[in-house]
Amino acid sequence: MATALNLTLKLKQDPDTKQRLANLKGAFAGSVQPLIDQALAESEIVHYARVLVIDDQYIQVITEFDGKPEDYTEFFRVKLPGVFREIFTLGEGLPEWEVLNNRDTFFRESAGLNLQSLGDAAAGSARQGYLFSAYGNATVKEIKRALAVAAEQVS
Amino acid sequence: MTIDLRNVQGLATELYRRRLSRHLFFRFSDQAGGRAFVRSVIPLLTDGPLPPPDTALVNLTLTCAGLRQLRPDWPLDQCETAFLQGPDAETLGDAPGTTSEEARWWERQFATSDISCLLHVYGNTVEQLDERTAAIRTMAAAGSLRELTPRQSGAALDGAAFGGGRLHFGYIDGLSKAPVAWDPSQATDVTLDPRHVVLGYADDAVQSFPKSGPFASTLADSSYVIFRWIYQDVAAFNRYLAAAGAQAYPALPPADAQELVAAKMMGRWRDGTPLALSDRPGADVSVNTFTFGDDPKGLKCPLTSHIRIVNPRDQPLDALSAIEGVPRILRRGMPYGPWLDGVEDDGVDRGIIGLFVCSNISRQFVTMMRWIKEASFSPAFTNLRAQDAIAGNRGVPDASPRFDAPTTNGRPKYPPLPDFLKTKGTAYLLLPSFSTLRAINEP
Repeated sequence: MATALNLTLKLKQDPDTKQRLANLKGAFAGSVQPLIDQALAESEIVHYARVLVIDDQYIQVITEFDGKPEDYTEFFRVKLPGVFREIFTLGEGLPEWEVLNNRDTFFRESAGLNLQSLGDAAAGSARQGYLFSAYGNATVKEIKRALAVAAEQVS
Repeated sequence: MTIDLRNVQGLATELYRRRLSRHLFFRFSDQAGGRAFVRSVIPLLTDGPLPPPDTALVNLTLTCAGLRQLRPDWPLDQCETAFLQGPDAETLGDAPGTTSEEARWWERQFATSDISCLLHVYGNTVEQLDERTAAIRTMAAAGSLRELTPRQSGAALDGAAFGGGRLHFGYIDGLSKAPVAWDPSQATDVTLDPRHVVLGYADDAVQSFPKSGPFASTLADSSYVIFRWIYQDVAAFNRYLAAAGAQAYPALPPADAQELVAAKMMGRWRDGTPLALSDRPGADVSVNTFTFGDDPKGLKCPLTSHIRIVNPRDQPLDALSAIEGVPRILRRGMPYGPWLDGVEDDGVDRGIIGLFVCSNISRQFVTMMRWIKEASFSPAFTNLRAQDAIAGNRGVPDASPRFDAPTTNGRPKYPPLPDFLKTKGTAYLLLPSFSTLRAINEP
């Protein structure tokens, strides 16, 4: 079953951070989103993804993905260094990006920022909390292949 | 970067040519006793340069808990997260509810978290093992260590080679090992960069942890070791060869059909000849430069054969796996338990004691285990729930027991794969260098 990422960072409230947050919001659709879109598509493990800002107090990256969390974080650290540098340097109480920017520290800090949902995992890791899936353990790759076969049959 | 092999424990540098092995598990009672034990055992330890052929060899490994007991003042949180947290059985394919589940490890004698250190003893005679074992146990008693016995019978965990590199299931082992270029002037296309083996030299291309700074220097030339105790169900394996041979290759004589099934599952004939190089046994098994690029559908070597899963060589990887490429790791295995012929199980424990040496547990070992558990790391795979034909745990949720060994003439139908292996224990360990061992004993 997919793994839920509910990455939640408390935002620093200094003027510089507020300005950078405003810049991120303004630039997201035009210049950040396409980069994320491309990396997510290439990964073939992410079902859905979105980035939220809550009252300028918190920023969340919420995804559902297949496989091992270490592989997931390493893929996106390598593929989207600028995006994650921007997001992580907005957060309160985190190490400098130069310290974070390696396979293990980035994974560990991301895991520490991942909020567990309420309830019990239906399957898979007991540390996930509740996550509903309408299609069981099907992965992104399997779903894409099934859809391609179905499309071929229709045509 | 030339590594001084006298500072590296020999387990990382040499594939020991010894007939016997013994693995002793201990728990420290306190810091002083633990340190005294480590100090006393250092003179017994084997270093990197090739030892004389008939001597007994000894190596020491420490769990994170053991290291923390010895040096609570060290910044161990700079070590790799996997080492700090210990093995996650589910990630390794040892799924809950199966015979490999963590609750059954170590024959329920102790928990992995109870282990502080292991002593690995190698020799050619039982007398050599017993002599070293007695010396180690005397030192352990002096340091008030408690010995943990992983067998309910109380017997030590001993390995015994069959000779000729043969393992249970009948395959010749040790043919795919890449030499480590400890001296960079010796590096070639087929050698392994030592940064994949020892700590202290990490960069962005080959990451290990601690990554840099004084603590990385303290652990320089140490390695991480994964200890795996694996039961092999030889009777089930032989039954499968017979059934699959008859079903998939009915036109062949039964013995030939069984050998072909065994070869397809491993990717090598049981004499070591790679299927990628020859459709019959008896070729030069020393050739280790073969590739799979000319066999994208697995017509020669099935996509989920064991050697093609753990080292797919030039097979294309998906984008996620291509980030770090094919994991390379040093394997130091030895069989245990008596040889078994035939299809009836005798109830005797047998298998392999595997030690995997690396610098990054997650990137190298866990990735390999994930690929064994679920063969979905390459666009070449058509069945994304298939597993390693030999090493997969069929009890993993949604795992496919199907084995495909297509040919140019069709797709022979194999029976569903059963479990052939059972995990009996796993520990993540540090193989400390001699400079690290000296630092442990500094005030």
